[in-house]
Amino acid sequence: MLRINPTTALAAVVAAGVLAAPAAADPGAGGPAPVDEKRPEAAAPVPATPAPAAPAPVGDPREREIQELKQLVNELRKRVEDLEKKPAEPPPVVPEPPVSQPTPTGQGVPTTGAGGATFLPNISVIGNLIARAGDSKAVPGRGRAHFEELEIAFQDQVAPKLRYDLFLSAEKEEEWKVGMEEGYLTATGVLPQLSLRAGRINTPIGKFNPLHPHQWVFITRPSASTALLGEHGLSSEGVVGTYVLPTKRFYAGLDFGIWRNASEIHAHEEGDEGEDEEEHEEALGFTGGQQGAYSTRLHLSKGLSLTKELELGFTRYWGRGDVEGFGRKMMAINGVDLTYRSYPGAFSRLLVTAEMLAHETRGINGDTKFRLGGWLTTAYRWSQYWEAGARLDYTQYPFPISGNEVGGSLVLTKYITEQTSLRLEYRHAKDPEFGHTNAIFLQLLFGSGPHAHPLQ
Amino acid sequence: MRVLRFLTVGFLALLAAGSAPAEAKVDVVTSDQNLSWLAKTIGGPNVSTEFLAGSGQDPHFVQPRPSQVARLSRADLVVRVGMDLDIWFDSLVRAAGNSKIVLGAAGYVDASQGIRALQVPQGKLDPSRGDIHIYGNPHYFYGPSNLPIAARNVRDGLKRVDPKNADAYDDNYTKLVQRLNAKMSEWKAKLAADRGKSVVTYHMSLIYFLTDFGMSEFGYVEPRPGLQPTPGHISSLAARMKQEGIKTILTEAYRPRRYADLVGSQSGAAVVVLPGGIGAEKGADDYFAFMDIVVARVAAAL
Repeated sequence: MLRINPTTALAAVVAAGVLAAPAAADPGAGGPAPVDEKRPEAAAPVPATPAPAAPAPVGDPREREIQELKQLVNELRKRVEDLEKKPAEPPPVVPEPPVSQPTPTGQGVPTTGAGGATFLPNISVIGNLIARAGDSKAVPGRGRAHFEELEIAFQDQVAPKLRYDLFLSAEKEEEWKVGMEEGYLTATGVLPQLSLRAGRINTPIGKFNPLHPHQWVFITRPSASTALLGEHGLSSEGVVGTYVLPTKRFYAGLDFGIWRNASEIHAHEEGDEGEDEEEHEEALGFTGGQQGAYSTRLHLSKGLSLTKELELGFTRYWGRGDVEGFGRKMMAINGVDLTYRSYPGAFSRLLVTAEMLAHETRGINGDTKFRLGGWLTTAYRWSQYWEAGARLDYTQYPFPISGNEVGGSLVLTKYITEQTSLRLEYRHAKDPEFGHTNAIFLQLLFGSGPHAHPLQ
Repeated sequence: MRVLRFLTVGFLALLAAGSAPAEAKVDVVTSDQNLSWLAKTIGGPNVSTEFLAGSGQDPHFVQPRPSQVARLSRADLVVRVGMDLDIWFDSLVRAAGNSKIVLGAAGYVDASQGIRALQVPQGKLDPSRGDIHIYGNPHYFYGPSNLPIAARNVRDGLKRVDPKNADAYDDNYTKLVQRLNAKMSEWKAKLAADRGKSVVTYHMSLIYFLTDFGMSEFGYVEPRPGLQPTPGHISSLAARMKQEGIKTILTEAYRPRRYADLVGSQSGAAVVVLPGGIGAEKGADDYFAFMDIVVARVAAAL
């Protein structure tokens, strides 16, 4: 009986496999049939606990075969030892990139996601907590800290050229109320370089009105915006098309919108200060366009260098509205805005903006009444984490209210993360009702989740 | 009102006079300067390239501007870094109203497609973990082994929008990879003695470079990505560095220097300033020159 040393047997099997492999790889070469991995019984049997080995008879052809196999194993062992002595070869210098499978549109979706695909839209929350202090009743809610606003956004692409943006806003006046701050569909590339937005939109008047409060570089709204557009700015329901003109050396965008003024959706609640304040606030703002309005805006921008930009905008928004004591009249807001931006360093930014609004009421005893307002803002971010700024603002009240406000603010901002910041604003203002007012505001802005707004 | 009308009419007349004639070259706009070089290298004379953010800027903090929309509105192909590094790019593409370059169109290239992402965050993600990127570390351009992947994506994009020059793009891609292979051997030889060493980096931006050359990160000057270093974190990091014998802090030129210097002075480690990308400093005119500088400075410091 032939006794086989288990080590020898194992080596023989391995060696046989090595020798057979090239032939097995080519079924047409007449080698042994490839092992069917699905049929373990077809593989070469390797005893798990083989019998003890004993020397085989000398001159036996099987012995010769074993000796040959031993020699082969020794040669292989020596080659392995030689290879192990050499320093480890680095991986291929430049690996061949894996071949991705593009989608039929020619571009794959991200393959490097954390956990794979999802159907969830982008959901984000922005919190705006403000504490106020002041020496007159011109500062509403003074001595208190409360959520000015909690913005919840849902945003997603719903078709290759169609996306929606929905911004819900929870605000506390007397009670918490949830409303839609903005909500619109955007169709891109309807015609070459033309996009359309439809829904409830912060009216594209100037640079400032379309912005949400968390995008501002200060805490308080400029008095001209409050007086001439409304306490929350001007929102409208309608559709606006933006055409990017085919210019090469500068940007030129032309908006044209058809609207229904929707600002009254921000209901004015009776404040702590009583009936007088309510009447005062309701009289401010723009009341034109309640049954239809139009807007147009020309936005020009020139990159002065890779890090400097100059922008100029012209806006007109017009429609009929009620004027207290005069009935329904044609009203308009005309605006001019100028912005200079410079990015002298990786994180530093200088921003200077000036915006002027003219509130126009026609047909008042055959005359047109203009009321003007505007502000000048500068902000300098000198590092990744700090920014300081100042603002001067002035406004007249819309016809038929007389009087004006003037004020100035100093602002200091600490950026904690990309979406979280702490901001301090000192403001001095003078108005006909309260006279001189000093106020301090402290704001904590925080955010979570992917959040985006159209470029302004 | 008359003034507004006058300005509008005048402006439209200016446009009519100043509009550029159509050019035969493929108009490529990239989100950063590195990709612009890559597009030019693959595209050769068949493309014109522009970039929106220079290498001296932190790619996280680029603020989109209207003039960039003008560049995108006429582009045939856009190339972005992807992996949420240039998330600001989306608002520009949307504003441009150019259907050739939106996600899914032939003229849209995400250069990160196929990159084997490192440091992909796991579990619940929220801002308390700093400014993290859900698709993994997006600073793949510092890793030379990723260059062919990004180059292939650019090449494929160019072939989609300009199939008649497909052979030229294939040739340029092959030449780029061959040259990179030669340079990679040279860089590996220069850093061979540093394999296995650990360094501190300012931000989580050098993991691909360190991995390619067999080194590792010990820690970061930032307590969490994007957050300002605190005195406590600096002291703690410096103490651990001294304990473990970490001798080098790597930072990009655009990052605040003082925090890296503070860690360096407390730990005794040297601060090595690296260019932020192609064109970020004199001599870093292409990827090979840029990486030559990076490799030389790291090799000298370690």
